[in-house]
Amino acid sequence: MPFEDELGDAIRRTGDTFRPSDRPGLVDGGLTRGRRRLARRRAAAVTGSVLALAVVGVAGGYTTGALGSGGGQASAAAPATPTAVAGQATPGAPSSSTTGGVTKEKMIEAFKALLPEGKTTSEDGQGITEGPKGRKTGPYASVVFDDGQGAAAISLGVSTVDPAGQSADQAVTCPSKALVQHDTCKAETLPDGSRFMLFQGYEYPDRRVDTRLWRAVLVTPNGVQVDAGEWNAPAEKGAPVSRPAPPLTGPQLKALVTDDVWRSIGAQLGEPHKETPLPGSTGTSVDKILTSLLPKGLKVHDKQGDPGYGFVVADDGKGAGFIQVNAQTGMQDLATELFTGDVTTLPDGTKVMVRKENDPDQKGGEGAVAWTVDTLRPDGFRVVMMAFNAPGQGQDASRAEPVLTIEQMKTIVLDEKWRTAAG
Amino acid sequence: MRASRTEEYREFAANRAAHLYRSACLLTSGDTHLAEDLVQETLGRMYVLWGRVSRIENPAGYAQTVLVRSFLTHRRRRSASERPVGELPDSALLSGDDPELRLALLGALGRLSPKDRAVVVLRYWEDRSIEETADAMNVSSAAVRTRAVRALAKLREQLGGSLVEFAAR
Repeated sequence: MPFEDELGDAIRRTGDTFRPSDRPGLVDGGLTRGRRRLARRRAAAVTGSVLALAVVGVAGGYTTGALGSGGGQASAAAPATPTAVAGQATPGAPSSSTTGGVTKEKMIEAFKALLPEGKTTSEDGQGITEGPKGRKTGPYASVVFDDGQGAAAISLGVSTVDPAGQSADQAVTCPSKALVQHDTCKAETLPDGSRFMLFQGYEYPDRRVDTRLWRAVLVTPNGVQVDAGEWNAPAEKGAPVSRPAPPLTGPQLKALVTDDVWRSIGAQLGEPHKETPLPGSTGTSVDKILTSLLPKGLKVHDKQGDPGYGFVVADDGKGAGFIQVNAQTGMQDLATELFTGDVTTLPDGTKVMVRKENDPDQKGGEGAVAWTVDTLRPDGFRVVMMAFNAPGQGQDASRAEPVLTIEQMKTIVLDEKWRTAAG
Repeated sequence: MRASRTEEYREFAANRAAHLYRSACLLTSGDTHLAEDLVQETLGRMYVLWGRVSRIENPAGYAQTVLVRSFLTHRRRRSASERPVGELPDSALLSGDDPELRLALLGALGRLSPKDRAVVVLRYWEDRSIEETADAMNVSSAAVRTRAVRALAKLREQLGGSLVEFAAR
């Protein structure tokens, strides 16, 4: 028997000898930790469900396998979420195999053929593969490209996405500068009905490292998604900047992703997986309600949202401030886990908690503070508002205090209109 | 989380706890206390994901990935307080069906670096492919290959002949 087989056998025999002495204890312990973690997360930041995903997609979706995992789930989803493992096989199941005519080599070849004159190294990629359940995974190619001005990572992936779904919308919608700092972003609909976005920003939106990321995403009416990114460094992360800007210009990057070759490759991935709308997506958008409840005299520079989460960037003439709100149902469990300490209970049983913090989202904006008013109705309906003295997350303070006072915040979050905006 | 979802989660956790625990014991080379801690941490993280878990195709596999990542994070954070190599807690010495094999194997695993050990556990206990192992560990396939070769060489050096003996039993 080869050593590897002997080792596998020995590991299995050894592993099987371990028995948890207290299995229910493990399960309960896990549940307790999970609840605490959830409460902390809910407490720490009002993060948008849908918008937060779009942010992550732009910032980090590229390497997470989101590209590679085919089907409707291949979206701008967060790397830490399940979508990142959508393509993962069951332990012990046969691993994926290459299918159809699109091999790794062909993918890399097609990709290189569309690049301008230059040298390519570190070529990598994957053909169309088929998982154990017959689910096809989209191909990708990545190279380090040097036109003589400095080596730069550049890559492209093809996947499918429900063209009518939320993931597709997110993939080709420019993020707000309040959430993801960037230089320019343009979204447009092309003559054939495809949607296209060109994003020119940074690998790290907070620019703790100054690697530029330029990204182009195309979603065709048939649901083929082509997503390309380029950096001004030989690697997406962890490599020093090698040139002032990524090698392909915006128009060149657009020409790359809109080339017909990707559509024919995408056609071999089959029909996109139909998305079911997320529950709660029928309500009113939070930013709409928020705008309607703001005091007169505030000018709204920017806003975005969906049912459950939204934000506005508002200015009273003395500087812009970012204000975000979550409206959530079913939060009864927070009554004991989060609403403790300095909590006021109103006559109708609504709990109100006020907090003032420095560097509230831990994104390190210079001088940033945020005020939070968190409210929990007796039936578990929660509205929480966070107002910053900066124009966006992770941005430097633009004024001494948030645009709204605590009293104004309380009045707004306790409004009954929020019921229609729960996510 | 809705009551029915919590019930589903409980069922999932109860079904997976024992397997996760066994994996954790191998990852920690027999440190059962740390293994319990890692399983609870993993189940806690799965709870948070559970609201969205209908989108995970394979929650059991994902939990294993979470476990390995929790283990590696833990090692990064606590590397200063690592247990001296070769010393196993008493509980690990309790007899299994083959106490000598168990001891020899856990000792050898304990002498690998945490990342090498994670590769070995994912490859030979979880039967994951190189690519799946790389995904779970957030490293490249090439890095997994290098680690696997190195770890196997070390294990062969330490266990070499004895595995043949054990296998024959």
